[in-house]
Amino acid sequence: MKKKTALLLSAGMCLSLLTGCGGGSFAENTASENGGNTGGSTMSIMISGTESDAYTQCIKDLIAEFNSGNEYGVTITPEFLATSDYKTKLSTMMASDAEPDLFFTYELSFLENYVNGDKVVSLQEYLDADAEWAGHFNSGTLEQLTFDGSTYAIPFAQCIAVMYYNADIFAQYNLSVPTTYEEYCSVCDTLLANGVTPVALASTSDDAWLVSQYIQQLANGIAGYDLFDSLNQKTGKWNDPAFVQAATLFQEEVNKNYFEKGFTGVGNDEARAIFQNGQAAMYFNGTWEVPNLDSEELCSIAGSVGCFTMPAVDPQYADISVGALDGSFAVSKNCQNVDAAVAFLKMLTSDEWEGKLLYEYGKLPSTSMEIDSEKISSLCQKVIECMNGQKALTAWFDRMDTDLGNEFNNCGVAISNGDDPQETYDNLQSYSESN
Amino acid sequence: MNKVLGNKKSIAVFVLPAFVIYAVFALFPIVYNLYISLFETDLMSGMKFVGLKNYLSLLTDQTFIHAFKNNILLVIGSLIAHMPLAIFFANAIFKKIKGAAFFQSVFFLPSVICGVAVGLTWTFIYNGNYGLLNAFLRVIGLGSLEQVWLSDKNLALFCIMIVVMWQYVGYHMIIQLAAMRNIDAALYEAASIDGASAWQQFTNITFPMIKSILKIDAVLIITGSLKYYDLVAVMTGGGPNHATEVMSTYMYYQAFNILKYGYACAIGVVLMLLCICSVGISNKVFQTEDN
Repeated sequence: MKKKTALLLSAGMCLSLLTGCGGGSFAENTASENGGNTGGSTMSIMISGTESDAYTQCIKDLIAEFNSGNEYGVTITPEFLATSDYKTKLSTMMASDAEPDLFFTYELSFLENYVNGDKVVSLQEYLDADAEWAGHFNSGTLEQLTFDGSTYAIPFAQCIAVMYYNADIFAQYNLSVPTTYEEYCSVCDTLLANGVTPVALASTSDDAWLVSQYIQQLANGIAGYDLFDSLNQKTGKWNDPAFVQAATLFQEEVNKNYFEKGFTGVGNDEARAIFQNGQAAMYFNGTWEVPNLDSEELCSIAGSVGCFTMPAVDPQYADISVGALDGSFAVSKNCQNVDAAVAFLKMLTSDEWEGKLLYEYGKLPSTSMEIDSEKISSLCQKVIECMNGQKALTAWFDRMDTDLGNEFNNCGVAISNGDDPQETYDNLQSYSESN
Repeated sequence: MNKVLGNKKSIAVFVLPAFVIYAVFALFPIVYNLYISLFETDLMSGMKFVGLKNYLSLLTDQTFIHAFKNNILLVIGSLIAHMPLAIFFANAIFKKIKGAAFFQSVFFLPSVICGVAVGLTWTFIYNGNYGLLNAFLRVIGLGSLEQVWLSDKNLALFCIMIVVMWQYVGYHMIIQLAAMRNIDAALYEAASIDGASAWQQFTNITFPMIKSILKIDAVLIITGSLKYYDLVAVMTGGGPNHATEVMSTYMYYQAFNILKYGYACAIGVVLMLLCICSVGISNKVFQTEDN
């Protein structure tokens, strides 16, 4: 009798274990069954961005509108994650064949990894079938999402790195927007002489890309677009003299205290706050910062923020900025209804929603929509002018090559902490050769 | 009931649930990890068999060697803090100094706080601009020693080690204190009648009697330090420029940041082998008479 009870109990334990493990797939089954019964289906979308990224609200509104009536009867369920978590979660889901139907993606190698892994649906036929839609995108945007002649994702915004400045402080010390690197240095020197921190910059290891985007911008102004292009074609070298010179200039700036005290321990949010509170005269970051800088609520100097593109060290390479797409969406092979996904992407990139993203959330459109300058803030207007004035854009290196780009970012942190530029980039080059 | 437990089949039935969990979440991953470590793969675009190449590249990977050295430093630091220092505290509390119960709680408290919270708190303490540590240095007139602690490649690891020491000293103190409390009080009584000093009592009674627990404790300390992850991940993320990278954070970086799963698995295997070796070594060092 006792034996039977023991067996019964342990059988119960085993059973509870099994139900515990099987919970996930059971829930999935019911979800798809429900979808099947009602004639529609659900589609998952994973998006990089949290509550603090204003634009996520626009995406939520868009999804709500799409769900409320579309000819496919599809309901989209979104999931929002902070950028670093997003990258980890997406790569893990991809590796375990559990990817969402639609996913946010960066361009170049970030997407290429997944394309090579046969995880992404080519959208080329949809673009070919709708020439108007395809022709709507700014030149140079779709190309960054195209591999072997097929486009795999649709961009909805663009961005470049610009130097924001506090016009009040500039006016107070009779400074004008610098047009050459020498002028930029003299602006910084004047500010320093008056006890003002010239530039707010972050340089913790989590925000390594911020230092490196500054160095990359300097390097663009030293060697031009060819430097980026050669690295992208895998013919260039990471210890190129242009990088060493850029890093050396950067180190000179560090030694002259152009950046806030203790900037090697300052994170992105802190650096932004320093600028927002008027404690620094300039702030180097992407155009996605516009909503944080032109809103009275968030920024005490909102009315007086202007921007300019960083002047080139060698004037012939002016107007070549660090910049790329500011978000794209791709459709995964898991997606059951690609037509519906494409319909969603078309809605996202329609003038109506690109306009909302721009006018309400400061996202610069990836399409050639007509911009109503009365609906945007003066800062947003200036940012668009900066962007239109660019001859070429060089993507962040960690988007071009995840591994080496990450190491390039780490090198930036090492250099801001005083490591020798030549030696640091020599190490990076030998690392790239050892792979 | 005894009859049921004596039956091998029913023992197996009782053990099965735990064994299934263990097999699914520990044994299978270990074997699978070994398998993956022989491939070059991002787990998506097919797997390329490369044999032992991943292991051979580890030998020349400067970052991995640096991470390994950091782990050894962490082991040494933890052994210092969690053996002699913890025994000292445990002995003091065992000898019922004034406020023993109070100190026991105070020392033990940090080890019950979640590692991420501890990491964030200390990140604020070490902060270069508004951190407590720099403020304290200014107050006592040592402002010239101010540092951006966690961004200095030479200091960051030691800053983390201090936190590790602080966090777990109480945990090991409790383990050792429990061992001390198991010693027969009559031994001390006899020793003090014979005129043994406190030091003699410690070296001749306390230490030999807790030796077997110290062995387990040493295993815990060494394996814990080898696979250490949370404080490093929270406080520096392995930076600046890999300066504070330890093997487990580097493994995470290789797998999830740059999608080299095969290489990351090789690091995992090395980590496991090191942990197994360290168990063997500490068994040797702390050999007691009964085994």
